Amino acid sequence: MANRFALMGWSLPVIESMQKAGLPYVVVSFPDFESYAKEHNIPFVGYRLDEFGSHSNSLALAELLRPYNVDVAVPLFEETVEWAGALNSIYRDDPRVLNRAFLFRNKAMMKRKALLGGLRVGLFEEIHNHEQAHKFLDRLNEAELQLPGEDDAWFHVKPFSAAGTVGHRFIKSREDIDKKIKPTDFPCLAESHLQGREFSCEAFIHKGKVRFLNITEYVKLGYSNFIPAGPELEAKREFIHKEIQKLVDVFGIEYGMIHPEWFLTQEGNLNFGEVACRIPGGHILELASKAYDFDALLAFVVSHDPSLSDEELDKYFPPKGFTPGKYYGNVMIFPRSGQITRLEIPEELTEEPYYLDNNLVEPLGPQKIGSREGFGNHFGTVNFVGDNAERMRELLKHYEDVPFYV
Amino acid sequence: MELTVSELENRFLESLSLFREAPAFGKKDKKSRLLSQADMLSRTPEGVAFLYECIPQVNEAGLFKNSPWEEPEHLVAYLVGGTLLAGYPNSTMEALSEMRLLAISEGRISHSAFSASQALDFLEDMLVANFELAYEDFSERAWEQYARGELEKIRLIFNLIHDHVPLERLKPRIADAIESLSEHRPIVVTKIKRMLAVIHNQLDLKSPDRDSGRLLKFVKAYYRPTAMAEKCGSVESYRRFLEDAGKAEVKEEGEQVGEQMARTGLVSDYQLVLLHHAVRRYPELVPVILHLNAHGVAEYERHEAFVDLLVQEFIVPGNKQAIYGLARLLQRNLLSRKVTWHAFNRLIRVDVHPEVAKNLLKGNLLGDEASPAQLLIGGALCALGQPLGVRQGNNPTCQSARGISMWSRHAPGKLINLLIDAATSNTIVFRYEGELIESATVKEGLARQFDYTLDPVSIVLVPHLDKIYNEMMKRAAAKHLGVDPHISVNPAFYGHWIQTGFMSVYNPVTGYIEKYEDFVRIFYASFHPDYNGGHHLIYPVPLGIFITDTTATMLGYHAISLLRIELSPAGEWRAYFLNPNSEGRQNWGQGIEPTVSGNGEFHGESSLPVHQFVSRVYAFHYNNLRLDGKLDDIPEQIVEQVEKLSRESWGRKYRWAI
Repeated sequence: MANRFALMGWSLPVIESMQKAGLPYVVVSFPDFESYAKEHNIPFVGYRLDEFGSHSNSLALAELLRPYNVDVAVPLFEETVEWAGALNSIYRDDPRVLNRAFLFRNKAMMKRKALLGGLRVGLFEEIHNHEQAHKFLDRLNEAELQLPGEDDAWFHVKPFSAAGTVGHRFIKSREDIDKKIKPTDFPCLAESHLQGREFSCEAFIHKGKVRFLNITEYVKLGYSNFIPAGPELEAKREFIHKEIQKLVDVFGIEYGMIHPEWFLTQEGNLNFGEVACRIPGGHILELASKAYDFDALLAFVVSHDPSLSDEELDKYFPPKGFTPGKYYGNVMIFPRSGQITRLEIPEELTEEPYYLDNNLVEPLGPQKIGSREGFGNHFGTVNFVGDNAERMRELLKHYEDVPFYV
Repeated sequence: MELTVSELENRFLESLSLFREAPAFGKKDKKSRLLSQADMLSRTPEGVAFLYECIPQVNEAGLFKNSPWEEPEHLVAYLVGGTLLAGYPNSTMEALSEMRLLAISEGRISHSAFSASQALDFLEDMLVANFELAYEDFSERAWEQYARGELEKIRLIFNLIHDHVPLERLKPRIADAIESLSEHRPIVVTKIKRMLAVIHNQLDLKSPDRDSGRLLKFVKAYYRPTAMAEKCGSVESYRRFLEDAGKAEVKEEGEQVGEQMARTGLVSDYQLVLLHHAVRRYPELVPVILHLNAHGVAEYERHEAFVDLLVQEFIVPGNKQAIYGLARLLQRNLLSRKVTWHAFNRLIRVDVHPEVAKNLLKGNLLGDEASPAQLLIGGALCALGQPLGVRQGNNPTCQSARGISMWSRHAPGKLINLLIDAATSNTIVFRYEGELIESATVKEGLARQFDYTLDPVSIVLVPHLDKIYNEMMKRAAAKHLGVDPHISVNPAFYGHWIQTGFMSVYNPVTGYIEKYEDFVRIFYASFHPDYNGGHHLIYPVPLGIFITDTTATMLGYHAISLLRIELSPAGEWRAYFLNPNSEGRQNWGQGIEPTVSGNGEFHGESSLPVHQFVSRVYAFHYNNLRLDGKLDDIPEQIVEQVEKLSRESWGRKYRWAI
């Protein structure tokens, strides 16, 4: 067992899990959290994780962590992936651990690596301005053998290092290039539109092998998902498992958890979207915990520990071959743009047998809601549980559109 | 398929144990989830019974910690109803809080600072203070704006309390409440009527105890005001009796109902029938039925045709209280003022804007039909007849209520004029420092969810006044940095009789309470006849006060009007004021308890000994030109006495300059 885990980033649910399990840890995050940590007896090292230079770097941070006897670093958020990679490079005395971390943080590098390893990806390029975007579209249209007058091919642009869907623009025509892509979005990755139904996995990796695989079914990206995935996706579990092991081998991942997004095509092929190695959004690990009856956050942390034996690791996971009895799903609630004054739980929800609970917050007063960026800033989630995947899909879809704030 | 209660119960218990075991920093999320499950349980009788069973564990787990419900000794009984109506999650917390109090009163939870008998006291107070909600069956149309499940939750929590605290126990408190409300003469009397309906139906008042007697007096005045009314039973047969009755009989009936109305402020169905009958057959008896004195009789005789028209066209079962308003209006001789006469004649001819009409109907809570125009005119009679009967309801609109009351007393023409604008155009225009502000173009007022249980004039005007006031305050804050916005807003909002001097205890620049002694001295030298040269106020003075609870802890700010400072019948100098938020008994801590009767108050006034009153004031307007040399005459001991009360109450929340 690790001497002590450094939790890179501030996450109360993870801290709570660590405390409950009695595992040694220290939180590394911005100095702003220091007084709160002190007040609640949370071991804490404040560090400017958004600065990098002679005064702020992994060697200096490792020095600060030395008194805590830290030997494993765990990235909780997108922005702490390189920090954790750098620290683990030091702890494991392996410079390539850091290089692997960069793979997760540069979407173009990620795609190249996937391509090299034989995963199915789209046509992609790094672009630096609008002109290059137009050129990319030219070449894409050409490759699609487009005739004059036909619609443009679709593609996506994403900033290299942003989390989730922050800065993601879906370009469906030439006009969209100038209309949707902002000058600040560059440089970014442009990639042709991948066909298929999108879903995500959470694969817990130890010693280079997938120890536990969760498949999450997206009902609407960024709004609603449920676990385990419906029977259609679960039927492909073995195939998905193989593809993920391929991804793990190609990327050379040894420890931790990866959160890849895939597109399952009609023909049964898997297109690789992207992959992250931090805690996924959408409260996915919380749903997985309930469905599989284990503490997924804790499992996430201990997967990073090279010193655990397989038997020790097993204690943190559901038994092999465990099949969940019920579907657990959630909808993230975003007030519609415009004026809101209060929370109003719809009557039909309180009468819904699948409804479990919610943690919606009350607005502090009348407030204006703007449009959303990425999938941040939701006002809470509504949780559901039930026996039937089809019913779950229906419900999650339905409650995306029901207003909770008026 | 419905979930079985036991499954909900299991989930609730599971969430409860997760919440209990969570470290302090992890409680928030688990609390919302727990509460969302309590919410579902609170909507069925079985669920409520289960929650009440578990309430000691819920309390133990710390659900009330770090919330406004944390300390039961600081809870305020009359706020319970508003909170229950505020929707989830507040309504659910409030329901659980009531369960905790009930459990304390039964000894199932022991609390170091709140005994079983205190809890029972609170519950009894609470039931009376929120009587309309506590005994409501939610069948009236007005409830349709609320979510069905929320109302069910309210009904169930009160049912639980009723099972443990029967109505019979509340007799003395209900009698106190009705007497005090009746003395206070609000325009809106639905609360009294609701209480009378419930005790009339559910209590046996025949027993000879004193409280039954007190209640019976009111029940009689409203349900059978005369022996003949009692004999006839239904209003219909009373009408038939009147058709055959001679003038002497009608007069005798009129004297009795008129006297009942003057005593209680309540208008019965019998009085309405009688008045309509008299207008047609014996107009000379109208003053008797309205219980007018010589001034009122002269006024009626001068405007007989107009008054008869008002009664016939505009006073119906749905707004019969307007008869009391009409009587008071005639006593004020308002129709003999040219301005009011013309304004009122125009008012009765307006076409009510459809939006305004909808709101007026929303405010008509008692089910009896009345058209929007009838409600508007009846409401105008009441607002003009009872300036001190204007209240704010559950809205944070004390400024607007105080304005309507002030205009009714000192500028009735202005009030009717505003009413005509609002009723026909659904907008009003005010001036602020040379700029125009039109309410229809202002987005926000202070009221978030408007409570329509108001008198018709307030229903029509307050939504607009509230926006205008809020907009003026915003502009003032931007325009006059570091200056109290009331200085420029009050004269623009209320009118020219706001005095030009202004005094506030708080310095917005330093954040300190400053020059408090001067503040007290100027107050006494301006308004107290002993120190201002023996004068009474010319106009009411709008004041800002700190609201404090029974432990004298500051709760917030409030706007009231000082009406007069005079010697009470017992020879004590008292401040008499309009509090648009008062419903009888109040307790501001430190033994400061405003009264509404028994100390020389006129109907609608509240009063306090002067020094107690001053100790809650934080801002007022005064006349700078009339202070000359008077400040030094205020005895040091008075200033000290006031300052001590202030420092030990709201003053605890502020820093004081030395």
